[in-house]
Amino acid sequence: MDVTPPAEVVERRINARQAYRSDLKPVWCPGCGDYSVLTALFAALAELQIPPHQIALISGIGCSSRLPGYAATYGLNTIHGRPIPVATGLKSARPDLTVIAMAGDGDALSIGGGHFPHAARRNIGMAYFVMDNNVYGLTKGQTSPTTPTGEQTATSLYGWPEDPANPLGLALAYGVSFVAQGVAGDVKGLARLMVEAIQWPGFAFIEILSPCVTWRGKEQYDVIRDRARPIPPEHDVTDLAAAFRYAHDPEHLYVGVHYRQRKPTFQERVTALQQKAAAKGAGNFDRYLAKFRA
Amino acid sequence: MKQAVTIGQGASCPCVFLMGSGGDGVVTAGDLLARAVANAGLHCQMVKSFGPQIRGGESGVWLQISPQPIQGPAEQVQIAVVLSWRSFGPFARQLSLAPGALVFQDEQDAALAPPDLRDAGGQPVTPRSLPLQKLADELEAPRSRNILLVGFIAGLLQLPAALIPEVLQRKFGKRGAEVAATLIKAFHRGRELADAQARPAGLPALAPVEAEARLLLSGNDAASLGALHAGVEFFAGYPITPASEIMTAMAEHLPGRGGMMIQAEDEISAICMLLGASFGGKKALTSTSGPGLSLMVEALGFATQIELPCVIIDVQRGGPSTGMPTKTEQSDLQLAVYGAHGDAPRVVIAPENVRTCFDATVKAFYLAEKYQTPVIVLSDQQLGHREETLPATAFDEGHAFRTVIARRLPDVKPGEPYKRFALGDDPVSPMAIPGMEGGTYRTSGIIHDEAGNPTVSTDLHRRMSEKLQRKMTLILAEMPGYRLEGPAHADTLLLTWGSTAGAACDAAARRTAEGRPTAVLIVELLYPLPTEALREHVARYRHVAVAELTFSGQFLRWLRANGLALEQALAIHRGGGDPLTTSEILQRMREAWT
Repeated sequence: MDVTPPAEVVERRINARQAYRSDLKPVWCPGCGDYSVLTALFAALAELQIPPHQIALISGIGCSSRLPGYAATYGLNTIHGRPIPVATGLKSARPDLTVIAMAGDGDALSIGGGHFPHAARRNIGMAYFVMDNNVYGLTKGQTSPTTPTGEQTATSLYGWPEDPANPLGLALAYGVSFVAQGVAGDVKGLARLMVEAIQWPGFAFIEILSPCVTWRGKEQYDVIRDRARPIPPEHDVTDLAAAFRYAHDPEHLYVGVHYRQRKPTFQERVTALQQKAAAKGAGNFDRYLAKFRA
Repeated sequence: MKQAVTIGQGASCPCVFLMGSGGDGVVTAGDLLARAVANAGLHCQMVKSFGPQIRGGESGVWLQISPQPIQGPAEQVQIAVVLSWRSFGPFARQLSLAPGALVFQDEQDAALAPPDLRDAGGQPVTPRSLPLQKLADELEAPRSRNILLVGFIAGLLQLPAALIPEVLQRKFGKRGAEVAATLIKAFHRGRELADAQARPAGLPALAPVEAEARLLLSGNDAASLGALHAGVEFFAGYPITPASEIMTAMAEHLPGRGGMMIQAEDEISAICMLLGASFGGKKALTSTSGPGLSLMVEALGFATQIELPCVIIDVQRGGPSTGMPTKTEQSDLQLAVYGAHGDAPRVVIAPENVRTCFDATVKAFYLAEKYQTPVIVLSDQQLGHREETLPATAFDEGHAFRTVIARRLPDVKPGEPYKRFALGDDPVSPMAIPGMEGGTYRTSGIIHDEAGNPTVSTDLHRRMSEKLQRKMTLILAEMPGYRLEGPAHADTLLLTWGSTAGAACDAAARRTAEGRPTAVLIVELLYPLPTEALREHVARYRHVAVAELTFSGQFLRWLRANGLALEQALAIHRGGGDPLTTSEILQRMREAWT
């Protein structure tokens, strides 16, 4: 049971979170789930006490990808579908930084869907937050890869004839080492998941159900609330088969950590091969040049 | 009986062609000869050609040898050895035999010789048989045919006998003293074979010139060396012919110096990884060819927009689409200078020979860091894969472009505002990198204000566009971006770029020798184009020709688009995938200006 903390603790927390807020005012619509995601992110960063200048937020294109602009960290709002490769380049070149990639459902599963399995294979040490609203909001209401079958949208006037992707199922199939689902409506729970994901040694994916009131209506909150269930505490997070069952549950949206399995990170493996190469003397210009002596 | 023959018409550098099927070892033979030639203080240029098969296909090696540095591509072959007529087909069109050329075959293969082999003058050529396999079998080293071949060619060209055993020892010594001894024996048997032949007349003496140490390397090797010299820290790329050698070199050398090579899932990912690493303050490189560059253009525009340094080496191949991956062309020019939506200036720089693949790469890193911009190096298959001898000092101070700079960081203080894209007299605004306290900034491909925040201000769009463009003006003020070669009194100017420069220089020299003094202007900086300087030069000449290896004349059109009139210019360009030759360029000039 939550106990309300003393006033000065609350104030300290608020101040700590404020340190992560930039001067820019979000342009999201009133009621957008992304506000809660931003609040949860500030709470998570404040709890982890990571200095803002040690953080880089890397997003793609879309409503949710505006997020880095609102944080007083380093940030790049990159091009459509490419937050993963940009963040991969940054994190592998600068393992000292906290790198968080973020995307919408279009970025993550449509135009940039091809990068997802490779980030999983590499197990890059970064968090990846996908704000999924089942719709293309910025371009005004077209279907997305997670729009439910049959829905009418700007690009499916007679009903959407395709099946939606299952982001959690894909992440599990790709071998992502940390897979979780959060909902924008539960800031506290989402912040807890974010803390775990940011600290996770490897690639940590959170599917965040973040409603779009403008194109999906206020009822998207209700749909999510009605279908959301906490992942049962007895769930073994290393049980991949069980995780698949939760991810593909036809009725419920399970919130919490679905899967968590430690495996070597890209950085750990690269460090090992860097040592091997250095021991062989590779990388020395003069030695390389000498190879071409006729 | 020895029979004197005269081959070539005053050929200044003999060209040898060796051809065999997979496993015959002709590439190794070419490499050994090239090393021996290099150690004799001579110059050589080696072009390898492979069939489309990955293994077991036919392969051919062209080896030009000269006492002088070689510029243009090989034209006619004076000595050819064919080890497998069965696989000869794909080379039949490429092989131009000089009048009087000597063609040799293995006697066991003689029955398969084409009945209608002719030289460039239309005279029939009868291949001469050599007992190569027989001798190899006698040595109980049936796979030493290629070493016999090396001995034979060395003997025919009267290369110093001592040089090759030393190279053999170095190359094969680690397989055991016995192996090396057998191969050295094979080499000498090959030389004895040559003694039985008449040395072809008309070839220049190839006595050792000087005992100067030499390098033997390809353009892709030189570019890789350049990248290491420039301090590359990060490479991401996707395998593609003919650029993969650079990626392989980075995979070998970057980890040892604390960097890394990431094999990306595609070229879009590769360039995006570069931008991530560069945002993190690292010097980042990728290498690719046309299809890969096509995939990279969106991110290229993003790099321009957020002013991130990165270097892309495009080793061009024949296009369009998959085109001809193992053949050469200069037809990515248009994509390199125009590729990306919006007004997105970038730097495009081109090496003209193997040596300048080093310079262009070092310069690319220099310009990328100094002006915070993407830089494309336009190499091509011809430069990337051909091997050349160079002085051992080729990349030393005073011989090559070696300037290396670090990123210009701002003087930031916590609590004080930092403007990443400050608009001032200097269009280059110092760049903070993550980890710097007080330097945090957010930016995006969206038009941004000085701090990096998105804006819809039309005024800022104009001013930021000017900022990007002014960087290009500064680059032009810093370097000429071209090279002029030829007699001061020339009345003809040959404009060219990249790998066509060699043949153009040779053609100009021959034209000058014919009494029509001709100069060559080689454009190194294709974007920003040094238009003013080019205009002044062009105006001084009576005749102007533009030579390039594209079907449609992309270079000529790029010069025109930049405001060079050139209405009367002789346009020398074609498709085909093989480099423009000296004779081709010369012939076109002779026809145009009698």
